[in-house]
Amino acid sequence: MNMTLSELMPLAPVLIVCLTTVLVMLVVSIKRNHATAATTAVVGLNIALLVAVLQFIGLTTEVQNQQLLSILSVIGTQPAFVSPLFVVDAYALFYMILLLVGSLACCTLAHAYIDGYKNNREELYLMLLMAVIGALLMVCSQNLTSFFLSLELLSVPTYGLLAYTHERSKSLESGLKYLVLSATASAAMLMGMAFLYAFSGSMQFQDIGMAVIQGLDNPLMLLGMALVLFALAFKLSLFPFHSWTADVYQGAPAPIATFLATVSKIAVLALAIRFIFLSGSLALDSMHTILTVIAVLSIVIGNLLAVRQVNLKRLLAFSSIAHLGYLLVAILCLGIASLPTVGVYLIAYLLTTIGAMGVVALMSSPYHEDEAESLADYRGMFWRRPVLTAVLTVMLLSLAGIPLTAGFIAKFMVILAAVQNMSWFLAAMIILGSAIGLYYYLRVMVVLYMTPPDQPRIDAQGNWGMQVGGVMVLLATVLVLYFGIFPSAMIDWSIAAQVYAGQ
Amino acid sequence: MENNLILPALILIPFIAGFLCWIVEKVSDRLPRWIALFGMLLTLALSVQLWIAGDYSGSAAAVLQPGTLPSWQSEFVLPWIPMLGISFHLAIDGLSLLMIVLTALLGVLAVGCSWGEIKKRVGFFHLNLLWSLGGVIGVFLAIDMFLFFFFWEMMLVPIYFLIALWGHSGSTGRSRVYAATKFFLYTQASGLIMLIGILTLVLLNYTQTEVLTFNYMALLGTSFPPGFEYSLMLCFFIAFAVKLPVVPFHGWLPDAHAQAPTAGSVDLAGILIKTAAYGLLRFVLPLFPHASADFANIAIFLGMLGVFYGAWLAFQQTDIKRLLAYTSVSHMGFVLLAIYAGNLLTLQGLMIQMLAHGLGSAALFIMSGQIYERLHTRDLRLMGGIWGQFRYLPVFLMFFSAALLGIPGTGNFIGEFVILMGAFVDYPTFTILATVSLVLAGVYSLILIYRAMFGEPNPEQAVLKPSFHDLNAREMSLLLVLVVGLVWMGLWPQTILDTSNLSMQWIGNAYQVPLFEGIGFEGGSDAAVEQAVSVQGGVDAAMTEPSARDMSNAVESMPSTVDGADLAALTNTGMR
Repeated sequence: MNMTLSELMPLAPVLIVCLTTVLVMLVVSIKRNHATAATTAVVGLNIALLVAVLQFIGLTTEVQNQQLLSILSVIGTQPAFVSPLFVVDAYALFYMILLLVGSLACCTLAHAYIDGYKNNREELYLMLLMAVIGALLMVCSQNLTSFFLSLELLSVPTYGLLAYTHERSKSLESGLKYLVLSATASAAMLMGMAFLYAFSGSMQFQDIGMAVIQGLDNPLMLLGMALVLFALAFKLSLFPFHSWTADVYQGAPAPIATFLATVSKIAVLALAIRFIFLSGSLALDSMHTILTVIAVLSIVIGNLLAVRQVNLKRLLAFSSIAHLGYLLVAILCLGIASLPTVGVYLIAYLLTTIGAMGVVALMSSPYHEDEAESLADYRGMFWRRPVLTAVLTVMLLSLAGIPLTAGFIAKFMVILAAVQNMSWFLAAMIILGSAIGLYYYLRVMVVLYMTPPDQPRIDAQGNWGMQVGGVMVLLATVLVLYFGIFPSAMIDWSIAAQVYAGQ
Repeated sequence: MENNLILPALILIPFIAGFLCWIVEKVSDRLPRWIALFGMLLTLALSVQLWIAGDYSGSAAAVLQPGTLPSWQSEFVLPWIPMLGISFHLAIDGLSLLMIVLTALLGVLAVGCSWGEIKKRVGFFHLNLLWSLGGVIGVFLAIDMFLFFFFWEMMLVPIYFLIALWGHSGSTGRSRVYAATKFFLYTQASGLIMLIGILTLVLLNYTQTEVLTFNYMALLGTSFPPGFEYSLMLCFFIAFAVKLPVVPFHGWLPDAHAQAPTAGSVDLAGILIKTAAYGLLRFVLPLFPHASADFANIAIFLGMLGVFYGAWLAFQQTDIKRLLAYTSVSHMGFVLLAIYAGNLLTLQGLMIQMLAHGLGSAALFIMSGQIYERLHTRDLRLMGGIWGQFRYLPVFLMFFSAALLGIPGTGNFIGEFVILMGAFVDYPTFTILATVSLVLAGVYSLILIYRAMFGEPNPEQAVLKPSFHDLNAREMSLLLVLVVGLVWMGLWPQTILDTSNLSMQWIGNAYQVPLFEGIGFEGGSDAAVEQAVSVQGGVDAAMTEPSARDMSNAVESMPSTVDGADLAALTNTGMR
């Protein structure tokens, strides 16, 4: 099939990131310079973000300005299929924007973190960019082929990123662990896709959906669907596929853990939602039951496991399990109508995780065997670093869903979804989860304000607020508070992010 | 009604002042105190200004018409999240005004009593103190259910920090973080249950009217599918019962009170637990009148349980702050009786009772802080003999203990008396029981006085003797303000009764008549009008609806405002 450039134009953000990757590679091969490589990557991501935002505006609003209109017409104002593999609709663009924001945050954090690293520092950006390409393609996928390829394009560079600071044995361990487990999950997924193809004779999500509705209880289809969903649950670290999460988060360099928690999970979730809705798997009672069980157990077990943690990174890892459980509740309760809720929740989750993990990253350096992750390291941090502590406090409050933060709005929307569907049991589970969650978030919070030890073992750099990473974390805090008080914009965007299913 | 900018100012001033306190902490330790004091005084001045400028009289008969909305003195509305029907909607009536004045006054006193007690991290302390006060004022003002919930949850965080960072270790060796966490978990979890109630209510209303709104006035008169009203009422009730606290849910209170710093205790006992009573009055009774009426017996039974259980446990305590905490449990039992009896008399009595309890318990907590500063103990067994060692302190302690047991001449007496009088018509048994409990109040108040003030001074205190100094001017003026307040309410409660009359009349009607029977829906509405008319005429209400009869008589005997003579008339109807 011949493709013209204009047909590819809707995928412009992805293309820009691809070009950036090549450019970074060239820059590195010409002359190794940390600052240049980082700047190139960040500039590329920013341009991609700008284009994605423009496309989103073009797709979702009536534009009056002629000049703007002419620009938009080049990059596309209509939802478009790019070959049968990809679709660029408002939904995809919304998640592309989230992913690009997340990866920009990871880049800036990585810059501060890796600056003191003595080995080669530049390849980090290369791998990061490749993973971002995978993530961006994932949210556009509507075909099992592109599904699998883009998922692997995201996963494979991630192994390298996790083990990047391989002088720390834990980092190496985390990379290896993720590689083995993730490969197993991918194998299961391929098997499941094979079953689905054997059953429906098509790779397109929508065709599978048609076939599912006609042959409801076909064992081949059920098995295939279940295998695919389990593999997705693994990537999302939902219970009972969660056991890798804590170890990988703990071992990973803090900026990469942030990447895994935000970009990787949001991309997988966006793809999972498109797959679940287009393939009609929620119409199957068995899938609905399985997902309900997974959601409830993720909330309860994730929170319970976090209670006894004294390691901040592990704690955040377990709490992310619970948060994805809440999200799953919204999806189960409202079906396709839950997209705005999911959107709001993911915006809040993205900003909050960037902020919380960002503080950990700012407090850490790649040369300690342990990063700044033990709660004891944070004891009395308020009296040394009041602003950084305020940032972490806001993030913890947001994770706990306390008013004035974006997390509150997100939790509110999820409970609204549960109540709307009259799923009292799921609503009760959210309350139970929040209560347990609150317990450990408070425990961390109060440690920050206790009497500090005489000799702090680990501390942020004196001028952290001046560096890009610091500025980025502060920006995330401002946004969390802003969206907590004025959530209208956030909700509007999420409502605009509609899935395009063709004519 | 045009937007009144004073309302958001009441919330914003504490928040801004609190933030400033934190900012200037580096400059000086004294500056945050002055900023906090100034901020709270300004809030107090604004709320008093609202009181003076507003007109809280008005025809009581008007609130008997079906579908009458509460008569707000002033409002403030801004669109907030339009697609969910949420607006930033504040409104004030007599009830909320009085609660806000109380909050602002106790806020000033809380800043005052921390002046000497809090020595570390002064700025951050005042940030938390003022933000919690701002949140409470928000709760009293919010009339959009989402906004209400927003403030309801938000005020918890600063109080958590107050207890966890500046609290005392408990007498049983439990840490203050434990107490703070317990408090937070109880209130937060119950709050989320209320959120489910709010959302269900909003969605029910949406299915009936096709309008998604969190506006309180629009939600009044939502009709419920069978079973829903009762369960939703329970969702709300649990949240308020935890905060009040009602007996099976009171576990957090003694720990939180005993381990909070003085200002925190003043905050908790004086204001915070009143938010629960306010919530029951403002939301539970008018929104779910039938379910509340069905539930009244259980609620009052729980209240009575609390009265006796609290009094008994208070008597057993040796820690002065725990003793006071349990007296709160006991007094809140009365509050439940008053709320669920729900006629004008009990509700007006409740108003006085809440204000008097706020002032009285705040005073006793401030005093236990002052005793602690001098004797370095809160254990009553280690005190003894204070009477002979100070000149002014014992006098005040004596007065406030007497107020606690409800001695005539203080507001507590008026409150309890009017509540008992009003409740007797509908719930004679419970009322007699409650009257008996007043004896127990005497017992715990007297044991407090006896143990702390009389007997031989504890020999172990001798080492501290040189550092004993009597109340200084600051401490004395704090206490004097409270004395004046209590005596004023005891001798001339009419000012307050006039202010809250219309609000309470409306709440009573919304609960007893109810005002919103089938408003806006087919069916039911004729019946409601008929009922209301019959009540107004007092025709066939003689035997079947004694409380409604009360109401009609009350309305007749109140031309526009109640004055002393009318209160007597009211009393007569109540007793008949």
